[in-house]
Amino acid sequence: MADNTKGAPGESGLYNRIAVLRAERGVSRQDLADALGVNYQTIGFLERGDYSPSLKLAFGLSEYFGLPVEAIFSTRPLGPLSAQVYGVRTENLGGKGHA
Amino acid sequence: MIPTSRAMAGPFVAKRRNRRWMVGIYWGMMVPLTAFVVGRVFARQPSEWFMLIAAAVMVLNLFTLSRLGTKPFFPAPMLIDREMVAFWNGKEDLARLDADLRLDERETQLRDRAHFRAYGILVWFALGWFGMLCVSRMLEPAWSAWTGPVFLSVLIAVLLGLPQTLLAWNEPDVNPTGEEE
Repeated sequence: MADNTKGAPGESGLYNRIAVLRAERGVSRQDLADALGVNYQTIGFLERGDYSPSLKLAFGLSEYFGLPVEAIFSTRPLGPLSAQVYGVRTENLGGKGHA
Repeated sequence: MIPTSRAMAGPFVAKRRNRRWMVGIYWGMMVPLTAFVVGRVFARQPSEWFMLIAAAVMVLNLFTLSRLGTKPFFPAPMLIDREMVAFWNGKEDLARLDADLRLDERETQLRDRAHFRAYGILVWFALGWFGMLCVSRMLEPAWSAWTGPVFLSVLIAVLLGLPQTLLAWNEPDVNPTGEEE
């Protein structure tokens, strides 16, 4: 899976959670591409951060996942969505698996 | 950008290495053919063979490499072709083929960039040719009689295939099934 939440942002200079969200919902690249009316290869490029989507495509993704655009794309590395939602930093948990 | 919906051709063109071989074979054919055409023009012996080969080159270009706006190495969506896909692979594959032929926003951007780069190269080519023409006119006026046809032949050959060549050469490997790489 092309995780582009941390590390290098790819050619687009953007970080994104598309791969994580897609895996979480069990959606294939082809399914997502069909829903958005793009080629499945474009989903791969988006996930790797090698392509900056148009506003239309970004809002399409936002609508598809039911999340705001800033929850999917960021110019800075993205942390786990759960940590953002609950306001807890997972690295502070010491890997004990509890809040 | 790389069309992969076809059962047989899809996995083949998905690999950049194969595409580069195809580009090599294409230009390996185009260069001698252009040289031959140019040679005939230079020798002022237009023949039926010359016309036949020139027409074959044009058809090859138009239906495989150079439909402006479509993907490289993807034949034109002729009716018979669509019917064959429907017959052999079913209606589902036909829908996939149609979707594969449409360019999305990234592919359109990529295509435009390839055309821009190709025409940039051609501008330098044309300028070089113009310089050569000026020099040849000064040194040997008879040369200018054949440099025009030669320039046109080479320009057409390059113009038709260059954007698609750039795309086929540069696009990375893709997974033809659409699943994870």
